[in-house]
Amino acid sequence: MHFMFLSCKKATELIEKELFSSLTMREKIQLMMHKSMCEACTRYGKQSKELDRYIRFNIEKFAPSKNASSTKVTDKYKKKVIDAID
Amino acid sequence: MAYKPEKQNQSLCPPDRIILSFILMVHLHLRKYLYFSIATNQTFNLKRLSASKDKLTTWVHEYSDDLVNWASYKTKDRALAEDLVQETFISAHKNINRFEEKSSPKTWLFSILRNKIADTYRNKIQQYTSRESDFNTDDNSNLLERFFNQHNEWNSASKPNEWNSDEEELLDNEDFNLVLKACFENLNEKSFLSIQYKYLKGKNGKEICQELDITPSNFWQLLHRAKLQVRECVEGNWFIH
Repeated sequence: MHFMFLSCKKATELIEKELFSSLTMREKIQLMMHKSMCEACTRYGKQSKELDRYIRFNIEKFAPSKNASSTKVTDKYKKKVIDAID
Repeated sequence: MAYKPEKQNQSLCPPDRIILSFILMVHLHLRKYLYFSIATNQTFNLKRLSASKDKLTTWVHEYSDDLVNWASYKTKDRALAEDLVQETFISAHKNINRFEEKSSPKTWLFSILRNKIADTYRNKIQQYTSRESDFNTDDNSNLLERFFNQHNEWNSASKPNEWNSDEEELLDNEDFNLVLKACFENLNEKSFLSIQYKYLKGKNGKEICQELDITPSNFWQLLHRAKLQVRECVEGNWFIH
């Protein structure tokens, strides 16, 4: 493949890399060129950014519900911990 | 005549003997103070240890509920959380000297626990990424084959479709969040971890990689795989219903 043209797999990888850290100049140009030709990857990039926002906003809720996990620890557990301190 | 030099050597107190006996005398006089100070030091240490044990015992009663709840919220694993909290108290006991009275014990314990949790994540992610051969083959390449053909272009079935979403509305949409949550739970553990780590910590890529001691390329490849799956799942279950 020509050095300026990316596969879709590589392009989507670069999209994730861009969100995660940053791209080199060459990668930026490669990605831009690929996106200008590939509608699916352009969509992917837009949706990936969108998902990022949803995930960031909601990640705390994805943990098990607070009520379920806020049961008290047993006295037996406390005793075990105190014994383990020695 | 032959005795003469020997007689000179037999002098009663050659200078080195005087010095030796002097040292011995000083030692005999002073050793009681020496041993005395060692002994008091020991009792002092013992006293301090039992004081820290008392303190720790109070802390276990006061804070273990909060610590365990917070840890199980972060790790999603109650048993693991209880273990981590136990380790937290043990290392608090060992490092009690480093605890400064001016900060609250709760803050201090939480900071130890936070490090323990980060360690667990770090170990798990390192396990996955250190086995480079596993990382690039097996289910990972199968997974990518589901999305891309042999020319690394989108399979027609997995091409992204237009979403036409209203971002602001979806952020607070309970039903959509349920779908998103379910899609997260569908991920296998390693992808889930990578994404969870990324978003829970709120740190940038460089910091995470330094903290986890993995190469950035490994990490964003994990994210890539996770993202492909979540995107497909959300699209299939929400947008194209």
